[in-house]
Amino acid sequence: MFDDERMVAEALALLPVVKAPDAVWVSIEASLRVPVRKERMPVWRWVLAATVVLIAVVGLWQWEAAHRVRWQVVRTSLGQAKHVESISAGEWLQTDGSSHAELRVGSIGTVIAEPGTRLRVVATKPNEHRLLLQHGEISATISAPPKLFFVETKSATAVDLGCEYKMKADDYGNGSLIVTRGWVAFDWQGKESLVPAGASCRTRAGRGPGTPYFSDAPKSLIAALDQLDFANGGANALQTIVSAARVRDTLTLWHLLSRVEPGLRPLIYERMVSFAAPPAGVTRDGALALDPQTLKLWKDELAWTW
Amino acid sequence: MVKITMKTLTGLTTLFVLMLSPGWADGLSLTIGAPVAAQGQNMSGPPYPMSKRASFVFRLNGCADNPGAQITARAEGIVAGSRVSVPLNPSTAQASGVFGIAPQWGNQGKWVVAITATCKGEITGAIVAVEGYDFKRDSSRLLSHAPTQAEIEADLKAWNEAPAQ
Repeated sequence: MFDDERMVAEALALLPVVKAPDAVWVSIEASLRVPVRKERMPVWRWVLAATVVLIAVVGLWQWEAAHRVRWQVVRTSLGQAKHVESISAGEWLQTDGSSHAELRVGSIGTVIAEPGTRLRVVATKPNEHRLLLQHGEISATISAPPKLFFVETKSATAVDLGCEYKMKADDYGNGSLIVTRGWVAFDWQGKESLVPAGASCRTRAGRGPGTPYFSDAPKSLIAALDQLDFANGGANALQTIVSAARVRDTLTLWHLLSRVEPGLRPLIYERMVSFAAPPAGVTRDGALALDPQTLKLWKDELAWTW
Repeated sequence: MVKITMKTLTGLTTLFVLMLSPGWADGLSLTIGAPVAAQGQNMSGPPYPMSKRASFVFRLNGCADNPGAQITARAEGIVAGSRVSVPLNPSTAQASGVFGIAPQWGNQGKWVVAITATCKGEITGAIVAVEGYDFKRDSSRLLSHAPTQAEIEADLKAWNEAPAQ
């Protein structure tokens, strides 16, 4: 093979180089100037294609509308008969100053919108029932597995882990959550407050949910907590909270442990262990270092007193 | 010289084994709590989801055989002047010894729930005051035995005469 290739190369080298005649280039350039004739699709085909697309879009829209999940709304106004309507994802529900609306959240519960409330249904999926509370007050009663029902505000999202709660919000995201049965997680940007029955939690625009506290907690504790959470109360506010705390206020103390400056954590820890010795697996070092497993173990045990 | 018989040896061995078991170390007891205490527990039993709908939950402490524990519970109440007794069906995350009591009584009147727990021959109990769906920790008590009828009647009477909380 190698010899054959070498022989061909030598033969090619012997061939003379001949210049192409100018006429060849003229004819090539002339052919390039002639426009390529395109086959144009007849107009009727365009019309047909557009019609098919239009029919498909309208059909899909109608099918989606027919199959869209709609939740029933029963409106009650002072001195007027009940009015029943329905609402689906993307739509708003608003009550005036003298009317209520009861929203049936699929088959998992109800939400009552108090007078002067505006909310939007965000999702009606089987695995996600989500509302946005623009402003006003709602009462939710939910019976479903955890993390199936959500209510968003501008500064926090209530994740249903329990049954019954009331929630208030204004247009800026300032509001509060009061849980009457079960428990609810109040989330915002990785910050979570666990709010069990009998407890409340405030939320503020730009700061998210505050520290949960039991509604029957000492007034001094509640006031100091407001200072600590939303008015940079610092060590003085924390000292008041720690001094006023009762056994079940370990709900508040446990949350504060991971929210205060590291230097203030021992103050909280000492108060917590003064109520009851921490369970096996919970060490001082682990708690002060905010070891996640330690904090979970401790919370699970403390919850028996909440 | 003390003579060690086979009977003495068997008795000492049994005592040693018992001392190592949690049931001996702490004694059988109950802890009562709000439903949030059972978060993360996969409780079975009607009505679903039990842990969330429970009026209260309780934990069996010091039982070396949680799956083998026997739990009985009855709601005892006075409704419209009549004495009523309702057998209850606790939900359970039995492996961890956590149980829940759903409000299987009406929402009228004040009730107490009498609980008896038995584990490996040991018995403990509690009488838990409930009103509507909620349990009242301060009006409940833990016992080191099964609640007696006299205790139940006395607690029910006291609970009904207590001022509203």
